[in-house]
Amino acid sequence: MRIVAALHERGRAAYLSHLDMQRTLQRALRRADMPLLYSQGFNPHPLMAFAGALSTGFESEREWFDVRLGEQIAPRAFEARLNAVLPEGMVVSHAMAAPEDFGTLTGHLAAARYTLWVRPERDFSAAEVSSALQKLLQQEELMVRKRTKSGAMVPQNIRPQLYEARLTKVDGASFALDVLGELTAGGGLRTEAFVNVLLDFLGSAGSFRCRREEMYFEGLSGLPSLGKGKHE
Amino acid sequence: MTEEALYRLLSRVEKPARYIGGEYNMQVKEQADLRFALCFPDVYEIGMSHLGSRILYHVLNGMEGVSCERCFAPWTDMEAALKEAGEELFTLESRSPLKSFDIVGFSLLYEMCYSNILTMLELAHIPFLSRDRGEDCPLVIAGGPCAVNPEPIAPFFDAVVIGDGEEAEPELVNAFRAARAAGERKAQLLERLAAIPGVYVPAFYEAVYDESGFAGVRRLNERAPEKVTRRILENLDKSPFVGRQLVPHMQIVHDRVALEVMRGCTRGCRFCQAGYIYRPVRERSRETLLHQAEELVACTGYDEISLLSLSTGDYSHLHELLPEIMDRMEKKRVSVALPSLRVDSLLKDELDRMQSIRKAGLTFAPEAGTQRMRDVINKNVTEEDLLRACADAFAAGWNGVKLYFMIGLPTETDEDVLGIAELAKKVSRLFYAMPKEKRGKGLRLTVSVSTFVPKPHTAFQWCAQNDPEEIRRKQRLLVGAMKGVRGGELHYHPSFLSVLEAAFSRGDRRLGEVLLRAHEKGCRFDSWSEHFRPEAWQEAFRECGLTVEAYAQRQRTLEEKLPWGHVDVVVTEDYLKREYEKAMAAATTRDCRQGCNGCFGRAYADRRCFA
Repeated sequence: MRIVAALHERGRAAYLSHLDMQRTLQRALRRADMPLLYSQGFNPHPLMAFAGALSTGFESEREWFDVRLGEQIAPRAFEARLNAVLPEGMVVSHAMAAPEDFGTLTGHLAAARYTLWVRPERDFSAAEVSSALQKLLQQEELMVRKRTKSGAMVPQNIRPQLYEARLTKVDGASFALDVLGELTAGGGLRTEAFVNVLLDFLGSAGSFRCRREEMYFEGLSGLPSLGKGKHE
Repeated sequence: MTEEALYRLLSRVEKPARYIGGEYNMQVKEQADLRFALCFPDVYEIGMSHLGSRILYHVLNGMEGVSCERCFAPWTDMEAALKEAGEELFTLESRSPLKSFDIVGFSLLYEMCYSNILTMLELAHIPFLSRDRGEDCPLVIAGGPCAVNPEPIAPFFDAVVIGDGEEAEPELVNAFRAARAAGERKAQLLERLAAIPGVYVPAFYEAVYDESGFAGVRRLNERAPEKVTRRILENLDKSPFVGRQLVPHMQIVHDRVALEVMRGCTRGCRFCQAGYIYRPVRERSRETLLHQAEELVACTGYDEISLLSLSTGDYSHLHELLPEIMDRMEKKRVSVALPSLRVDSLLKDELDRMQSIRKAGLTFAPEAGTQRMRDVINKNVTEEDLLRACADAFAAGWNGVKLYFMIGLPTETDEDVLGIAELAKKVSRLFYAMPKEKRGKGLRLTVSVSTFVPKPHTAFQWCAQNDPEEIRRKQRLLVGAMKGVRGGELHYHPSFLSVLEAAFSRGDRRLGEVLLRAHEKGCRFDSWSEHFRPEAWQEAFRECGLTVEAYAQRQRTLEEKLPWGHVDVVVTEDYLKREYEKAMAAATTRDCRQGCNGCFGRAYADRRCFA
């Protein structure tokens, strides 16, 4: 059977790399004595995959993953057994049995919603941040420089990947944003690039923290989706 | 440190997972009257791979009211981030500053980590020298294999545990508690510690020097023993093991379940310090091991288990243990690995089943290229053994073999050096003599050659190390000779690090000052080539009126006093002298399993290595 579930990663768990996270979840599945199925071949590994990779340092409310099991297990029992053996900062929820013909999570991944806490080097009022954000959203092009795999810097327009952004909170030295952007197997909105553009509009530099609040899929029933045609 | 402060640091370093803690099976004890910081002077991935630290973590946290937390050397990016943020070095469990602990204990695994001890103390705002630390400072102690010559680091430590720590550390902790309950000062606490068998208190001894150098040790306090005798855990089978082994998030060097099948080795290789300082051999029973293997795999989720010891192929019940443990582990999809393999064809059936070995290729350590040289070092392996094992491996489809050798061994001639290439050539011919359809694709024969470092408490503790020029000449000789070896690849290393290692492994207390100066000059992570600064080390020696060459390259006489002479590792100096004389005559000594060679002398003559 296939189980699809969401892993919640908070606090220090955010500082694991994507590979660390895969390893940690695999070992937890083994500790929970789940009837895992393995790949064939020279170096078999459990059939388990995350929908996407999460940047090191990002928290996540829901990182969706799926795992194949050799026996039937009730989704609630799956959650309970796994949660009993997960390290601090990780919790599994929203487990559901997926039909065998359910597509891959990665292949149907479409978008994600983030909360960004931005800490600029100097303080800004809510009005200043709002106005900068509005100006930014009115642009048809938001050019940033992106490093390619070969190390070269190439220009990239990130405006098409940015769906929504609104200011939710201003708290002294930092402010919070709610951002919706594209996320697919091939890439998507780079939140770091977005924050840098916003800081440019504010005429400041700064740091930020990020939490992925939700991942959205297309054509996988039972999983969160943005609704048809919304961001075509 | 607050969580927020930690996150700010983490965003500025590579591999933040080194510093977050929170691994599965981490122990956090809120209620503790005694807090012990277990420190490892290298990065997380290396420190977490050390079995001894894992055992102590379990033993100390198993004590009522004792909390043991971990701390590793921060990589240079984290060091800079800590300094810039004005933060102190902290433990992983509760993010507490090291200085807030009652006891700060360092593991001494490798001499080339000594500079990191000073980095860690500096970042913890703890004074370097024992004599500068007042009543408000933690007790700073050390232990581990390098402690058998504690002299180069003696000025930094209040006490050093020599030998097995499973029993000595709890005794030390309890002595600390008793001293505190009695309202005693540090001087009295140190007297209590010196009374514990295996505990060395450097302040109670003074090194004496004359014009020729080190001239002996004078005892300054009657309550300290004349000689500190290595602590030996009598019953390994009944002793605590690692308990619920920590499961790191990030990949560490030995990322698997570590199951210690025995401690000690009976082979008696004359260069090998571990072979002498872990005697006698103590084995765990097959039942205990099977039980521990299942427990460890269940509580960690690891898919690999390693049967650890200095020479697992010699474990008495290996032929019963291996098939059984492999059967049980196979059901759980756990692979079984033997880290140290001897040239032993009796294991052929089991080897076929060991996937991990199949992946990594076979590894053999003949250590020397000619039979004469192997007799000198008492590595009782013959060319026939090696070739037979390789032939078996090739026939079974393997095409990767690694051979480990040393150069610069006592009495070595050019013929011995060239013998390494000769042996490699024979292995290569063996492979290519097989019919094409029966052998693997192409031979991958790795010949790895390291530089011999003489170690204290071995038969070669008096020997000179080859100077770097001579080592380079021998390396060049070998490069030339290896050219004609089909499928062969030679690995060797620049040699100054080995020179420094030789100086520190057999050094005296004067090297403490050298370490301080090297630290001031920025030396840290010396075993990492990107950080190693030979010229800074040379300068540090020079400023102290010493030379690294004098320590490394001087042949000691059998009569002279040695800086570690007040450490009794139980194997007697008389025995080591006999072994030295035999080595010079290229005469071998039998494996202890074939009969006692009397290494413990009269004082321990009743000790039976094999029950």
